[in-house]
Amino acid sequence: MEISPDALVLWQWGPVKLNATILFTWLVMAILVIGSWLITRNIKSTVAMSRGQNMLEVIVGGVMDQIREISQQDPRPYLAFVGSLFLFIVVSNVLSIVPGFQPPTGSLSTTTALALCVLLAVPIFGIWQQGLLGYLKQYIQPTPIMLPFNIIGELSRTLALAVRLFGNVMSGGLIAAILLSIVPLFFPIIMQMLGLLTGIIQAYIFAVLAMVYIASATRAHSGRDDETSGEQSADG
Amino acid sequence: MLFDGFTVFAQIVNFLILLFLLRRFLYRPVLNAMQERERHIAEQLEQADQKHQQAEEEYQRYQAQNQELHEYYVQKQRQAEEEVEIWRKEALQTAHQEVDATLHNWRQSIALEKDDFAAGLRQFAVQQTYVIARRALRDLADADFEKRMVAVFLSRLKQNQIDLTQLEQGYSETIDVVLTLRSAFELSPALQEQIRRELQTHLVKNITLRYEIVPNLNAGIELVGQNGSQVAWNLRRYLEALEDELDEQIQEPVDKQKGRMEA
Repeated sequence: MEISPDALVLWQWGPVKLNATILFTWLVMAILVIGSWLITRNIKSTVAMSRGQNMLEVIVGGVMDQIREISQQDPRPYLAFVGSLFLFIVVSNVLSIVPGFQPPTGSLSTTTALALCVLLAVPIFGIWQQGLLGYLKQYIQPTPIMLPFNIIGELSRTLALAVRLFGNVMSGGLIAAILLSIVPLFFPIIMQMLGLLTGIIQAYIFAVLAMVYIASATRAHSGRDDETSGEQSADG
Repeated sequence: MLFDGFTVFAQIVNFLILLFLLRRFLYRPVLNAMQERERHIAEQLEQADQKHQQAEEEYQRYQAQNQELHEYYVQKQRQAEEEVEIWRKEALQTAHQEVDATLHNWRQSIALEKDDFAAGLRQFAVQQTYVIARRALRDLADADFEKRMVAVFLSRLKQNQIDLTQLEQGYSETIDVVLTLRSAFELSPALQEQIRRELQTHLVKNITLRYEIVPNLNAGIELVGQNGSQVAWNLRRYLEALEDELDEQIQEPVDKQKGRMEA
């Protein structure tokens, strides 16, 4: 049994390889992009709208509300990044119930890539909002002695992001496979339903934590408290 | 191996591509639609506010017009009441005047009727008195009333108890005095001559006496000069006293009736 879909290599040319992670990522991307395009090509600004548009507006509105609630700022600059993280992860996790589908989020490479994106997005948004000096000052708050600890904190939380999502998704799929071999009837269904719930929650946690980190970088002198509380809620 | 460097790089690229595509096909159109809808709803709300404001202004204007109409109505009602009051007073005054005029006419009519009745009664009383006196004198004293009256008149004339000077006033000395002797009864020529002679003895000027019978002359004789002066010897004075007595007797129940009507 493969723990990560990275191990399933479909094609390789030197260091360039096409494995199941990348393939299913493309599938998820295609579902998201083509679905969005099909719905939004006939989008209407009237009160009467299609079901698909209504669903997209509910999703986008919900994400914007969450961003606004967390950051206490205008959510539009962060909507694309945080919303894309959430949608990609949740679609990947939900599709895990499809037989034969291996969620890309069950790959540590994918979760690491997403965590690295968050790691890069935090200083980008921070500098965009506060300027370079304003952002860098956060690393020497409350005293310059805290500089190494702040840097370690940045790296460790990125690692935590990647490993948390990978561990949850991978373990969910692995447990379902093991139970399927031990108790083939009924119980795997319950575990898969639990895995769906876990996958949606993990997508929510990943997106919320990303927004918390970005918000802590964009709000001067007030981001550390939000970061600590966000970590505690995610682990719980 | 759990971790693959190329896959990490590829997933970063994939995520960035997904980010770009979702921004292009999901977030931007959805946000635009939501903003357009919010703008449309805001415009509708603003239009609704404007219409509400217009309706409020219309309501205020209607209230003002209503108030103005009410004041106009009250003013007109007051004016109508005043006009009705004036008309009522005028009508009342006219009615009073008409009643007064009617009452006055009625009183005049009553007075005329009373006068007519009194005149008729007086005439009847005179005639009856004259008839009774004449009959009583003839039956009881064997005397003629007319002759006795003329005899008494001549007697008084002889005793200068009758003033005849007024009959001569206004005449020149050369012209005869023309006198008219009126009597209610036929005077015999002898009596006429006796009266003329007696008159001539008392008057300075020559007289020309004309005789005239007037039946309603109150049973006596009367001398009338051309200057309008008169010397009467008849029952008029007694009859006037009788008339006054009759008037008092008639007027008393009329005054009582009038007092009851005014009460």
